[in-house]
Amino acid sequence: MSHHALQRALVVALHDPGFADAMRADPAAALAPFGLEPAEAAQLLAVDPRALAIDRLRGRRVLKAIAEELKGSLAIALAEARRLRFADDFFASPCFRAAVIEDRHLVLALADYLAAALASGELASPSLAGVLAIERAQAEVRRDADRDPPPGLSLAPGIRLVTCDAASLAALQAAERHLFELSLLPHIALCDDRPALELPAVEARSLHLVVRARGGEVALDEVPEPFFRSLGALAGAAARAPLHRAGVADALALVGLRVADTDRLVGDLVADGYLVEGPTGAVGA
Amino acid sequence: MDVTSLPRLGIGISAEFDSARRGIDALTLRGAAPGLIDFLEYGCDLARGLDDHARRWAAAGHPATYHFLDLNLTERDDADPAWLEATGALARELGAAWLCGDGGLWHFGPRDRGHETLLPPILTRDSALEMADAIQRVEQATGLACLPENPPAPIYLGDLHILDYFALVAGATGGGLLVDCAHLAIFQRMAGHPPLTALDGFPLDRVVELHVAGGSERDHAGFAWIDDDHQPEPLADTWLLFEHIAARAPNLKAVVYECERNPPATVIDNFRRIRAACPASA
Repeated sequence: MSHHALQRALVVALHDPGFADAMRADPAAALAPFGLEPAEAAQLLAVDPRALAIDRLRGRRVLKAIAEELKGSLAIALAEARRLRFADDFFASPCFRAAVIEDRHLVLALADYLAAALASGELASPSLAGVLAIERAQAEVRRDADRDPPPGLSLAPGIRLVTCDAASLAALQAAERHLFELSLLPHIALCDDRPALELPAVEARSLHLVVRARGGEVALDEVPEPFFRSLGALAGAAARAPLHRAGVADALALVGLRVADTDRLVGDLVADGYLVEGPTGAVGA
Repeated sequence: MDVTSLPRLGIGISAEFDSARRGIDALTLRGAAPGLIDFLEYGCDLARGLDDHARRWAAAGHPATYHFLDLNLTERDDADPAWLEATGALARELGAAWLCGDGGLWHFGPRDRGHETLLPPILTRDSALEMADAIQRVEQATGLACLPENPPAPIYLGDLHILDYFALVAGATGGGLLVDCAHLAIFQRMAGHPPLTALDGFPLDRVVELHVAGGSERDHAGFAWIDDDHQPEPLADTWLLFEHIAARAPNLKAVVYECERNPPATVIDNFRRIRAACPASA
């Protein structure tokens, strides 16, 4: 018996009216993911459904808190969907439910929700994928900077690599400007002639970004493609197995890069903070 | 932590980040109505920290307490080393005599910016013991007493009365408690109990701090509930609880009237009523 499991089930019931209905219609199925004891399930089922719906702004407050880090993506998504219900439906999504059950960051769950809408074709805005990739990476590095690195060489904590179309940064800035304009006079929401979100056309050219958390801030640096490819290759190799200096040349060769002095390259990347060398990183050097 | 060793603070007013900008500035009120308030209870999360109001209060050397809005006391591990260090530093900067905070969930999932989604604990013995562990961890790391507060909600789950729950917490910590009389009135009403239910078995000697606040009776599709909206006038049940407990809590050190968002003129009489009823102000 875990009070945490019952708490999680209550959180979902408070935020998702559909779940509250489903748990009454078929308690065993709806509550199965939470692993409740029968007595716990009975307590939840005994709650007056009206009590769950008292705070109709509960979800909006949660969205306000987490949308701050995905504001460009959510703006683009809602400009296409043109339904506030799309945002509200986040709480009915598997992404929200999994985040609550697994204690994951809600902002990343919202990013997953937007990505799923893109993948399913529910959303198709050409700008969304790039903007979402940037904002998600920013959200991730804010939460990743204090992570302990694994053994061997790896991408430094607080760094993500993002490839997106070259207009993505401009699209993000356009969405942020648009939201700022709307925030000046919230009454704009009442007007049929409110300004539309105008986004730059997607470009065929790709942008290679290193997203890096530094001292509480997040920096976006555009880097040359070969450099980006090198970092990607080393990050990929480190994700598969501990990467030691002796394996760097092979990892780079997999992406078609030949480097004469890999020790010097690794030294430079570590010195510049792109890579870190974990506890056993020197083994095999 | 030994509650008898805590300082007597008297009557306080609550404040949250930026609340003085549009609500009550405690320093201004203290100057305008001498003897009305003795201390400030400042509530915030680490993402926001102290505001100018709190800094001015601290600089004046007046007593204070720190009410966190970002720690899940029901989760043993939520008080991580970074939170403990930063909260201890913030409390010291404020000059806080102790820490307090609703014993429940301020966030679900990992701590993040601006959640402040307050939910009550599941009222079970296991949850109470886990909260006690978390409190002891906070006290050991910060060196300050940490008083858990009974949170408000229209829904409470678990098999314990909320007073029995916090009695278990206090029994396990050996420390003090904060009873929010408005929140307790809400619990009793939602449970269908008379206001003073379960106080007979409650360790009133552990009550260090009381909260008093206004609330509004509301109806949602025929479901009656109380909105803990901190409007000026406390409900009759809240006054009854406050006056009952204040008269019987031998280690009561502080009473906070949570009214900072209201015009000063609407709260002065209630401050006087609180002081008159409260031996802690003597």
